[in-house]
Amino acid sequence: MKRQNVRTLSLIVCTFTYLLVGAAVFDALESDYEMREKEQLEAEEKRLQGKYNISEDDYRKLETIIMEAEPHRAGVQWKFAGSFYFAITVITTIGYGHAAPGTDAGKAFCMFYAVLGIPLTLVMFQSLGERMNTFVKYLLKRIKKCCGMRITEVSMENMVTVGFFSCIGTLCIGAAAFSHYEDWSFFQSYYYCFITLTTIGFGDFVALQKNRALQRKPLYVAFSFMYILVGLTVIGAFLNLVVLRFLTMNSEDERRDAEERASLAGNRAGSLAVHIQDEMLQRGGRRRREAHVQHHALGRLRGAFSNQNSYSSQLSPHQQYFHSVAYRIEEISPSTLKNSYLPSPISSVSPGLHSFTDNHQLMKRRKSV
Amino acid sequence: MNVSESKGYGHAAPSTDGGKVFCMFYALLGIPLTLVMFQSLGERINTLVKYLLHRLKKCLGFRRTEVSMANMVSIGFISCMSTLCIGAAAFSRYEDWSFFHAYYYCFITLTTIGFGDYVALQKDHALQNNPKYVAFSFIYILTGLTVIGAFLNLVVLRFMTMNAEDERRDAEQRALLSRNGQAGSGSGMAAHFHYIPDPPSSSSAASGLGTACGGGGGGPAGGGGGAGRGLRNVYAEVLHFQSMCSCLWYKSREKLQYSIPMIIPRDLSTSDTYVEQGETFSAQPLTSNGCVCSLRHPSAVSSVSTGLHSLVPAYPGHSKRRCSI
Repeated sequence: MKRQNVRTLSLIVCTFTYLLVGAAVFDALESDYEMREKEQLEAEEKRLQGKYNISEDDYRKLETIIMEAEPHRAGVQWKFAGSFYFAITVITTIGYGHAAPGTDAGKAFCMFYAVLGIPLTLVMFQSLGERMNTFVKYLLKRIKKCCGMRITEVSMENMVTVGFFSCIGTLCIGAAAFSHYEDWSFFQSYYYCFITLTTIGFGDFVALQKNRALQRKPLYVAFSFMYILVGLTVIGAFLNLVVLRFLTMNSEDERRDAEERASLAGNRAGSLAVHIQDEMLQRGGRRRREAHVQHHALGRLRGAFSNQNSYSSQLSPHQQYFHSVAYRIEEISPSTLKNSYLPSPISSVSPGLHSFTDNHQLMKRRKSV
Repeated sequence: MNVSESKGYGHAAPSTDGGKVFCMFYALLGIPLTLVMFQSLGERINTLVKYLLHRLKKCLGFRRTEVSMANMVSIGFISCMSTLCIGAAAFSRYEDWSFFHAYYYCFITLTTIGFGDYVALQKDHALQNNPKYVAFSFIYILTGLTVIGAFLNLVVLRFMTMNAEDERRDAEQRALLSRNGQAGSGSGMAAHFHYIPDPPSSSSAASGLGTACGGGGGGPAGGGGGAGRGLRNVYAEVLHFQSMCSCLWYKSREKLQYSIPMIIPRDLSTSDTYVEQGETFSAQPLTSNGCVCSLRHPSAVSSVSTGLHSLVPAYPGHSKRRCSI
């Protein structure tokens, strides 16, 4: 089966397994607590009903009133500061839900706002994250030079380590700040920061909801907004470093396959290029052979193209995708291009060069996943 | 499930500390896994749709059976809208919401915002009593996220990798310029070319592209004496053509697909990178062939361009981005 299909299927299987495992663990951890909570609430309910002689209906009404009053108790949610907070939760997809549009018009606008805002925000954070990674890479290189280290190249491990520690640092700073301002425990604040910066945003803990902070404490409000945006950038930079390449894997494999198919449609120049590349790939102790191939290949290049089908047999299967690179022209419009452009020897060789480099890098990735 | 999709309704959030801790670790692994899974599946779906559309066009006897980006985007958009509408219809029936509220719920869910003001499976103990509805809800959410993910994969993903690719290209150019400055003819490019076996820390095919491009910029083919550079030995003769080809690497693949005859005269002057390096080229003794940008060898370039264009397999938007932004 094609590599991309295998990859996709295994990912699906992994995800489902992960869901099942998560469900089992959460069940084990939370079910008992939930049952106990429910029993306690019911006991309280009976007690109150008995004490104040409240009817069932009235009690339900009271419950509804109390639940609906909660956001209001937290303060005015839809003035400018609150709305800005809400807009942040929409476009970053955090979505606490502490305040959600009540009017239909608000809901409709929310949807259009999200349609444009979410991709914009995604691209913005990835862009900014990439800039940060580049900057950190530069700083790290300078530090290595200053410290007199022999190898001043910044490796992926370095970057991942730095990124990881930045994330932990960001979470800890936020946890300290919010536990101070919101009167939560450090663990609860850390949990809040984590759920916020991974954009899950349960809403069980929400900042700026106590003591009318949205209206009364502009500095704290500004800090919260800045923290969320900066924290998302740091997480975004880490994701950009670690996860983004995996998101494009299938597309790149697909492109490579398409080129393979195009070239396999049969092109004599391709075989020549393949031959060259084939030789090219066999590095290490084959200089003489390379030199021989060089003259051989160049001689052929200078000559007119002749049918090189004999070389095809020399190809090992995994290298066939090399010659595909040279023959995208086939795929594009064989009738117009074939006769006018293919006769040039360069078209097969230079792509060969490039495809070698391109595929070398691609090969590396192929091997690692 | 809501955690790993980072949709977080909050209708149920872990109350115990153990639950919170497990939740965080669960999310740490689960969110990237889910992101990659949805993008992977979305890409497969896009490929299938492209194939089907191609076949459809052939069957209907269209002259041009290539599937354009506009086709794909329209189909993607319509799929998203239908997914939302189907969900809205279903949930408005099962949850007793109005169609608009159910649509709003589906939208907020599938964009992973997840306010929690509307949450399915919360009425009449549906989670325990109505297994079919439960199964439908789960399948709907996962399928819907796949459709949205496919659309994002089609439209947004390329923008997320833009900076990184531009950065790589800049790095290649810098390396090329510095090597040209040091080494002079031939060796600079070949040395740069030999960069391939020593890959940069970020393993991506784009660096290969950039390498070859940078190699092209170096130009001169005279370096036959590179005993220590196996690659150079093989390609010395043709490397000067590479310099002409390089400019054309920045041509968009899509444009090339439909406008090859028009490319050659235009391409020769579009490479902004080689405008910068023009003086570097002229300083090279062996660049008698000159950069393609100087239009000295249009015929060679024309054949080279198509060859070169084929060198840009993986980054279709490469030059388009440079030119347009």
